[in-house]
Amino acid sequence: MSTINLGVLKSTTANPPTMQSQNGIDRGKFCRAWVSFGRRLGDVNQYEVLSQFNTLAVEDTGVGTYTITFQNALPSNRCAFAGAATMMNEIIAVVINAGNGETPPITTTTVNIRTCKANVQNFDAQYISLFAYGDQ
Amino acid sequence: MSTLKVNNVQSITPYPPYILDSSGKEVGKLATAWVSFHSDGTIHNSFNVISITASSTNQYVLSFTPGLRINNPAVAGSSNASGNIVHPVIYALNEVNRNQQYVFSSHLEVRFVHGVGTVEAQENSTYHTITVIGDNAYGSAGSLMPQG
Repeated sequence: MSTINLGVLKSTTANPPTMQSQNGIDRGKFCRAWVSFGRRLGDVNQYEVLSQFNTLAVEDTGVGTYTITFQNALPSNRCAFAGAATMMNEIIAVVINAGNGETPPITTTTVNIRTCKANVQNFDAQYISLFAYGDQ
Repeated sequence: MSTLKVNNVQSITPYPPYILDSSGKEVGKLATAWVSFHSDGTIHNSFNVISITASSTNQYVLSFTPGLRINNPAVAGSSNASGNIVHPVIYALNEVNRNQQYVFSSHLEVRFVHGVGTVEAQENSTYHTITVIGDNAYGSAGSLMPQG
């Protein structure tokens, strides 16, 4: 057993270091950005970022639609996104805001998302979260 | 290319080490907790989730390892279903008011809800997954935009 103690792990490249098993197989990747945002304290008609990593801003672009802007560019415009939102009784999903056959609304610095409840109704949840994984 | 071979990377702070690129910019975060579990509450596999308690039909309290000290984490998950979709929802006591989400440093409460909208009309899912990524520090206020 060997243990290294440190406060900072610094890569020699523009990407995070690769975490490998003893035989050199990639075993882990780091999250490249995440955000939680919700209705603003004192004014529930506005949203504010509650906590985040590498997220510059969240813009409310309509009922249940948001544009997430990243502080530093993601390594690809085809990152993986996943998220969840709050709801009391019904289903609500966080989805990428594009129709079937449309170009994904994703760049290295932004992604457009939508929160919709059953069945296809856009809805402003009170707490929404998203994270992004990606690689070059 | 440089490779450091160790079993463990241990932080010198209460939090995971910072992951920086060559210029010193923070470029990565580790998952804080994740779990896959059966709808009866049995944990298949997990990290930093110590127990799962059913609080209602298809509603679960996921208890974290003590001391994670995360604030307002990001949450995502999935489930199996053969018919209508089943999707995880962060439980909230109220759909509009602020700070009604059941997301805490010690635990998280989620529901796996049927696509037609009611909690009771669930699929008999047997495999639920949840991933949580959080941080000890609050983010910036961000951009405050009028609600659409």
